[in-house]
Amino acid sequence: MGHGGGAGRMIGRIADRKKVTRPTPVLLKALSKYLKGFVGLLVLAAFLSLAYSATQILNPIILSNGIDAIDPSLGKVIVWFGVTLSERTIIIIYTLFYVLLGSFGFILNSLTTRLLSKVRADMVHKIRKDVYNKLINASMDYLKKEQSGNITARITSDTDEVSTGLQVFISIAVQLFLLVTTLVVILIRLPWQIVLICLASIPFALLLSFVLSTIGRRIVLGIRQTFGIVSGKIAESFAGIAVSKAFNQEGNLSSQMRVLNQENYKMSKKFGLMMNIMMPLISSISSIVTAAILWMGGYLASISIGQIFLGTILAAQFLRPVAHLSLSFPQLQTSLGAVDRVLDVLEASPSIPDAPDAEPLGNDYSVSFEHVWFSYDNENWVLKDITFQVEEGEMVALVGETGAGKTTLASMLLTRFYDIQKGSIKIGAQDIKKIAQKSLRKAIGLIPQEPYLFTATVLENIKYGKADATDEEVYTICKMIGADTFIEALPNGYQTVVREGGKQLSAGQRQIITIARTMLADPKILILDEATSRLDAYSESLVQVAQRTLFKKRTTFVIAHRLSTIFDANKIIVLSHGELVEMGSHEELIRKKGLYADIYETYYKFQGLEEIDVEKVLEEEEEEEVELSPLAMMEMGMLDPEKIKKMVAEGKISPAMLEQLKKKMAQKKAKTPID
Amino acid sequence: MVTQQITQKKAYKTEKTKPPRQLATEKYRSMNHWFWSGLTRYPGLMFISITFLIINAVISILPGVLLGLGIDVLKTEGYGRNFIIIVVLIISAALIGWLTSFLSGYLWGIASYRFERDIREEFFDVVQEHSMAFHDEHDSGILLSMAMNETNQIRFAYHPSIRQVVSSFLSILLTTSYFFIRIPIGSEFIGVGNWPIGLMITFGFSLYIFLAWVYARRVGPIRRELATELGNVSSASQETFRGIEVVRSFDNEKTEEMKFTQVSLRLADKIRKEGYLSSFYWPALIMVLFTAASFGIGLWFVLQDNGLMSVGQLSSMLTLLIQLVILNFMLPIRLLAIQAGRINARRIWDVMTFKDPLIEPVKSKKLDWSRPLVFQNVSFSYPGKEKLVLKDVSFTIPPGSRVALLGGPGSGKSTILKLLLRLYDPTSGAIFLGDTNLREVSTFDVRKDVTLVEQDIFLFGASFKDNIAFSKPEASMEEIKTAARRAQIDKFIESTPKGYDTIIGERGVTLSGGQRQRIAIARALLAEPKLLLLDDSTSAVDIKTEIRLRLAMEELIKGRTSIIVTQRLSTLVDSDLILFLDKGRVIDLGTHEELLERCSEYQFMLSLLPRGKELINKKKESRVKTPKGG
Repeated sequence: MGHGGGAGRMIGRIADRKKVTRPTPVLLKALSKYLKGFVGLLVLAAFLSLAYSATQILNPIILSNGIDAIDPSLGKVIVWFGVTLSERTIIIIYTLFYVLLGSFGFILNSLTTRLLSKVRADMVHKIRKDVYNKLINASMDYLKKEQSGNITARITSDTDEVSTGLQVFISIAVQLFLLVTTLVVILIRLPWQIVLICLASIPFALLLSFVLSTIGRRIVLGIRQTFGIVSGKIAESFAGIAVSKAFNQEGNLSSQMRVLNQENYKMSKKFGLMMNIMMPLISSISSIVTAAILWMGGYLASISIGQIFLGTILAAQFLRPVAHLSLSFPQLQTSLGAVDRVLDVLEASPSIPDAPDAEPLGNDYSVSFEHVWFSYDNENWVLKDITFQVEEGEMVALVGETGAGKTTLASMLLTRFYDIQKGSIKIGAQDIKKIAQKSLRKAIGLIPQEPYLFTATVLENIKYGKADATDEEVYTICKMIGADTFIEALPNGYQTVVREGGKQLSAGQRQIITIARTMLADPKILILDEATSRLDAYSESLVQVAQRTLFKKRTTFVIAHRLSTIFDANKIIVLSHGELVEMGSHEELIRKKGLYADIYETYYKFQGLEEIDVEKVLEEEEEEEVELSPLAMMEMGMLDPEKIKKMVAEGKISPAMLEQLKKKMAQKKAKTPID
Repeated sequence: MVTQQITQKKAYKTEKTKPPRQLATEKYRSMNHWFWSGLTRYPGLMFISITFLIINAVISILPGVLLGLGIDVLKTEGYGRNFIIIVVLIISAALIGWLTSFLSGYLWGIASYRFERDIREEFFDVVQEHSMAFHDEHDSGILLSMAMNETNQIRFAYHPSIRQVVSSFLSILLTTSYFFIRIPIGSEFIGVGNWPIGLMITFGFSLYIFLAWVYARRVGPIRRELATELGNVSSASQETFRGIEVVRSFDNEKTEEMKFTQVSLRLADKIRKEGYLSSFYWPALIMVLFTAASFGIGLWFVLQDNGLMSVGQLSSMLTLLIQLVILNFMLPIRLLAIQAGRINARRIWDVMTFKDPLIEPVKSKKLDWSRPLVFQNVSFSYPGKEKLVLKDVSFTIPPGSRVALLGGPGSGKSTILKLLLRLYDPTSGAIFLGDTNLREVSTFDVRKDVTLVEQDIFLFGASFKDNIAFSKPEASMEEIKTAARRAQIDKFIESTPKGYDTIIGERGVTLSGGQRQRIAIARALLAEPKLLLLDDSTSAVDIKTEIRLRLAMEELIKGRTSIIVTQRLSTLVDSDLILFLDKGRVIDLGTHEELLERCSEYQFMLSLLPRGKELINKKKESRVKTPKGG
């Protein structure tokens, strides 16, 4: 069956074994949906492999019969169809028979591999496409909870694993068949003593598989862990290469990496020790069985040479399926785990569907929130009873401390990435739940906090929201926001390929490109989520000028971090802990001397600058707040599930972090980390 | 980020001179020399391993040979002492076989794992040593994969592949020789001793090995294409889901689906192709054919009963051949692995022998910081690119001055900083300190005196202490604390749960932008640079952070030449010189007053900065006043 495998890989796959949440029949049923189109091919492949293993059994029988046929002491006369065959004819017949059977086996085996690779290619593609399509249309909620790395694993390795599982399954069937038929042949053709000798080798095979799947698994996990640590160290060193160069610390990092690398080496050495003790055992045991059979043959005296020969060959053939099988079952479990995870995806809730009576968005771009309540987890309200009205063409600034709900309000709800629990959001007179999402997303342009660029040219990145834009349009926009100078200074100008999310660009430059992208798409409603936070003051002012000309009459939401932006706004909305506490113009709010006036004093005013009394500010200095990462909090026992939920809802725990936390929690619960 | 705390190893003092370390690219002549050095790095281990490998090859054919002898003995003498001896011998051979196989495999494994460890370190060292020109154009993900997975593949070529291939060849050789030899043991013989059969077998095996090699050559490339396509599928999905909000807000799900289907189909196509190419392993058929031939001829000889061959010998012969099939079942995979290992070694070697445009001087000249720093007609384009990002830039900075670097995006500010750190050399023109051309000073010596605080601060996933002491690993706790105090970050650090031992990042504290900047300032303070480069283009958001930061910067600038990229009015006003750049050219150089007076671009720039307009207006007012006074 193909030419893949090796014990190391087997153990690796066993080490991947994870808990399965669904009962096996459910998993198999789900799998059968994908097998449907391939039933014919699979049955054929299975049949061919069975036929192949039959030839494998017949081969030694032919050899043994041949040996016995020429043994004069046995005095056998072979009569075929009434004709007594001469010994010479017998030799020719047996030899020919062996050649034919051997070649036939070869063709059967090769064809099976070929058939299975076709099934594998088509089926994996089918599953992969389904999983991908499901994921890309899955709810934001689901996608946010999974890290992008995990999602990629679902699409690549897990789908692959499903097909590998299928192959393991077929191979188990074949091995079982081989085992049973070998046993039957031995039972029929050889004395029972030899059967016993063959069976005596089973415990050894089981011992082998036991050691490999327990100790072996532990060592493999250890290797992976140390490997991961070295990998992390190298990744960090490459990411910070400019820093280490600037401080002449390359050598220091090398020494640190060597220490970790040595750990990985020690683990690998353990693996080598185990494998080199266990693997040669197979052939040694098979030799010992040979000796035992030879001895038994001599002892019994009634047994022919052909039979001794057959016994030794079959015994060797017997040992392998046993060893193979005992390792196959845990491998099958790994595959079922993958099916389980793939099913998780396929059953994940899809993104919010359009209402049956959904209509395209009209021409009124005023926005109103009416008693809006929202929570990510139905427990912790992120927004509480928010009501406000924005006229078409107005610019609204959202102000408030971190976690007050600004991003949720503008970036997540208005775009309908999430649905609200209570109240309503309207654009014009239309409730957004009744607007076709395609037209809604077309109308809204979002520039998120974290600029995200695709691996493509700068030009393609800017055109992402408007594929049919001309290059001229792109240049015009870029000139307007002052992006053209730095883009032209890039090695290949607009054709420069952005790599690794834009490592050759500064954070500000990445942000400007995302701004150009959104501006080019020309949305009717614009959401700027601290979109200019990483720009220098000069570039920011250019962007603002462009925004004023291009989006003058557009409804705009700005999550502001600078005074100048707030001055431009028609209306300021102040949020605190999910509640709307103040609303009005800058002057009105300053006069009110409420929360806004406070924030203005500490955060914004100084940007106007210079004459601040340093002494006075430092005198009233309070301690800076220490913000511990969730992992550190957990290690200190400061986290309970309740708190985690709250922090997830507040966006303080990223999906990646949540994953790690869960892992850590599980490890803490089970005192021994592995097993 | 590494989530491990490392006890810092002070292998050597980084103080004054660059530690001597011979790089792999200097030690080995070629990729082949490097790849095969795995055999000679641990000669003791390898020698013993190969010795046991040979012993093992001989011993592992013994059971098959003894089986035939046993059968013959049984036939002629019957069940007796000699027969029992043979049975015991087979069992002993099995046990010794296990022992020698273990020793050979384990020792070989140790040598190979060490080799893997060594080449990973060599690769890491060489890549770290490459200049920024290299790092700009190489994807760090691919470099990481080379350091981890491809070195792993090379090891796989050694252990188990090369050893097993050698072992396979040995057993083929020994089996072949069984057909040539004929050793008398008592009244029986070991070996066939028949030249025609021997020659036939020799020819068969030669063909076998040749076809196996052809197979590996044919399947190898498609396996690599397969790996590439798999990588494409993986990165395609990674891209989409990391940017899912962007995909969704531009309503591009369908486009992405289509793109992905394309990539996935290409992979499916390769899987199919690989299956088709690799399914027919022709050498297996060769084995079948000459097992059959030996079987037929053997039977014929036995039938002649003229002493040419006994039944036992026939059994031995067949057992050995069948054993070979089993032994060589992995041969094609092993050949493929060796081939893959060599291709990986080629890729790594090419990366390691990157032709660096930055050339270190044979003997480094001394830097005298009491002399002026001069840019003389400096033009610069990134290596391998034509576009000039600095065009004919000339200026002089007197020692000890405070210089502000001003300019829009893409004006070349950060390039000037990189040139001063000698991360790159000018494409034409030169940078001088006094009479010393920076090219004549080793990068190590330049960077010892020049320190850069970047805009996007990079901190390691290690403790506060380790991060601050990064610039000076041997610094005492006292020094670290002083640096932290001067950088206005000491109180904050002390308020964290473990103080200076608190880890930064995922496993510890999350830092704000201002705090990261102050840590970077503390780190720079410890380095005690002669020339300070500071990129301060974005300003912090709240007033207290702002003030702390400014105090920290003041500490850092004190008493040394500094070049600060800034748009902060106070910094501009306070500096001795403002270097104003636009599109890679120097527009003007002078004090704030001078530029405000004569440079219209400067006035425009200021007008766009917060409070800039007020300043200009004030100036205008004073200008109106001046004639009155004068």
